[in-house]
Amino acid sequence: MILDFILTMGIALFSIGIAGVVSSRHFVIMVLSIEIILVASSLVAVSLYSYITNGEILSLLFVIWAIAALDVIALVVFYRYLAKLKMNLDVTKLNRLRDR
Amino acid sequence: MISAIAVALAALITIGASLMFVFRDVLHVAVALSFVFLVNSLIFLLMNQPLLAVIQLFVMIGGVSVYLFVGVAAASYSHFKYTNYVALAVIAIAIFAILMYGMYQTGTIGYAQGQPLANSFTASQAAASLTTKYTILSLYTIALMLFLLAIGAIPLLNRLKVI
Repeated sequence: MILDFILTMGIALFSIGIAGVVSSRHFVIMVLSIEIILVASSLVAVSLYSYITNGEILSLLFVIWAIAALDVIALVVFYRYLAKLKMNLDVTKLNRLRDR
Repeated sequence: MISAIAVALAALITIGASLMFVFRDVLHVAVALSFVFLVNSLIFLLMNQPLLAVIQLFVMIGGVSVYLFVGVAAASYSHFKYTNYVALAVIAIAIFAILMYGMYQTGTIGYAQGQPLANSFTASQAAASLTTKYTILSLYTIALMLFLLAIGAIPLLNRLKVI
């Protein structure tokens, strides 16, 4: 029963994350939506490991955590860069960086 | 009882994730995301995985969230007007429906009905799983990528006198 709840929640989180990436043009929101997708994937992986499979879990979780850390480092660097240049955070206007 | 706690945590984590799109400043968005990480860690505890819960807490709350607060939220530079809420809701519901249909078709939902926990991750298993050749290789590759990203960020930010 708990597995069902947690799988449903993982799928809901994954859907919210994908919808956030697709529907938003904001740079920060898109990256943080990817974080939501990573949380959902770790949740589904751990729930399936806990109740069903007997496979390797730690490597997968390490990869997920590392991608989350990489995401945030890249976000912070580009965010500070764009903030310093007072540029728009709309991703469709990022090509203006070319003129800087 | 545990099912009720699971439902409550499920509601909390989904609300936290949804709030991310409602707030209009980066600080509150970072707080909502940290809340999602925290509840995720609590759900790991509920599934009898204390080791993974602690690692999740250290990495995501202690590392990622704090870095997010310091690096992004402290700059207070944001224009949150680019999210299309109708598209967000429609796409989220559509993807959710498709994935749930797939889960029901494969029989994953309802598979573990009434069964006890199959696996609980322990520190000895962690040591065993980290000693394979490919795991070590992948972890070193990830560490190298993180290191190069951090080093590459320094001249980029230094050029603009951000740091």
